[in-house]
Amino acid sequence: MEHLIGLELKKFGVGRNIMFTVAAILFSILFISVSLVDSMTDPEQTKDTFESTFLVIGLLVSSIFLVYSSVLTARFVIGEYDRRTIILLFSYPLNRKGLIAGKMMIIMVYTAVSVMMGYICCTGYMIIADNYFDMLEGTFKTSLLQTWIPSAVTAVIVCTILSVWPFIIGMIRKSVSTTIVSSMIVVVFRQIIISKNAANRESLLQILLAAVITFAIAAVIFKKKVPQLF
Amino acid sequence: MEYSFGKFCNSARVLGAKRFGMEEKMDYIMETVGLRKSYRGNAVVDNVNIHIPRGAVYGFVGPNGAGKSTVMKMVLNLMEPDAGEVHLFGEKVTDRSYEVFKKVGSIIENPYFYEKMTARQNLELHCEYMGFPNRERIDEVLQMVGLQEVRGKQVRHFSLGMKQRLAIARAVLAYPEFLMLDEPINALDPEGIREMRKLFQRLNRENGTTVFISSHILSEVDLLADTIGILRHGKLLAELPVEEIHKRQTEYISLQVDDVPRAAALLEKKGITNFTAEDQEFIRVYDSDLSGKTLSKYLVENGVGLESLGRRQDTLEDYFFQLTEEGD
Repeated sequence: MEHLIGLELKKFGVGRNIMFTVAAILFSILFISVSLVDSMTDPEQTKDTFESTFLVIGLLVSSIFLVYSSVLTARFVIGEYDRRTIILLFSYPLNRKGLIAGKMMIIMVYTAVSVMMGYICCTGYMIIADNYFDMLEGTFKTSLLQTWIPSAVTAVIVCTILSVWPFIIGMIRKSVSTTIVSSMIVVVFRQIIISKNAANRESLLQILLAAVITFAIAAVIFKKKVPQLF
Repeated sequence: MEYSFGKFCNSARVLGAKRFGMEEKMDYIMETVGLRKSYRGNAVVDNVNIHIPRGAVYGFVGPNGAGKSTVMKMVLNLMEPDAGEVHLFGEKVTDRSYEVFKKVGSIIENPYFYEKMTARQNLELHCEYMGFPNRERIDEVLQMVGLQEVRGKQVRHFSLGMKQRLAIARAVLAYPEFLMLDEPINALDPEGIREMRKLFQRLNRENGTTVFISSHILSEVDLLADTIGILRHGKLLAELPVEEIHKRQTEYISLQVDDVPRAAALLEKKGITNFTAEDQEFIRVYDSDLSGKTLSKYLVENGVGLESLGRRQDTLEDYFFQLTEEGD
């Protein structure tokens, strides 16, 4: 398996994807800055709180990297079927399901690391910016981390699990566009549910249930769909 | 046609074994047993039994849609047969067979590549996947197929012919013992076809590579293969050494005349009945004792315009059509 992951990493283009992660985090920081400066300078608006900004960071970072993970799945997995290079890959003396599993593991790890980095960088920036410019209501207390850490960990786990769904949907039809559209639907639904009420964030039981369902369906897809060329 | 001693022995073994009913004792590098595949109730491959002896060049011929690519995909385990078995290097191919493909080089369907990568990068990637460490071999095979100059060019800028050459380079890169080529000369120009034919012959002769080549270009297979399998409507109509086909092929005199009915009447008048009119211009006279000079003189003297006259032999194409017409 390590050998297969190593092989796939060469095609994955680690450098290019790190660049994307950095650019996405910078974009998120810019987005948060504009939002905070706007609420600071507009007399009609009240300053944002740490909690509400944490929520915005969570939604923003999760959305960006979930959609990007579907782009990676489309390019890196479904694209092999679409471009018919899968014929080539399956002609090699390698475990075919292992090969696709290796690709998916790379995407899942990339998504998890990127969401985590996004959370850390954006939150770190927000705390530093508030320290210098008093952008948020109140002052930062370490006690805030008691709610931030569990919500960040939850988001990382949920995003990692959800990054498998574009693969599941995409493999059913072996379609690149279906893969990307399915992730957008997932993101939009999650946004609506969480932004309506922050308390709707996934509980541990829900996460476990989602993980079990996701990996069970993914296992069926691996058995039935991965070996099929069309 | 170039024949090696190994090829001669293999052909003789196939013939000998088949005559004496000892096929099971042959050293087949690839064998299919009762292979079947259907799509929506239509049998595209029907009870196909292929036997490829080690060291052979096996020409797999048949019209487009005969089921050649489907058979090849089943051999490579890219497609699951509805029934039957594939044996590669004496082992039954199952969905857990991977290691056996280390010894196989292949082109299936079209030449597929990672288009944004260069020719060399594609071959480097192939080496990685095959677990083949010798990177110097990349330049060697690029040289073999005449793509050394464009090794740094992205494959998306290649013509179909260049991609086909690169696919051949990739297939032969890791010194495969068994080379499976699905229509490898498609899109190649005449010079390219000749070069690739020589390459396959050299690999077979010098490295002992067994070649399984499918094509609908019968003349090319006739020049290359020592064993032929003829597939039509998913059925293997015949499998035999090319030498045997050549032995069966009768010699004839081909006459190109301006008046076929008149020429035919004159031939009958002279007592020559073993002839066939091919079309509006050509007549084949199957009488090896007949002198061409006498025949031409006789026809011309009786007012038949003679465009050309030549002694010929039935080709693989003739055998193919004879066989498929019988099948119909």
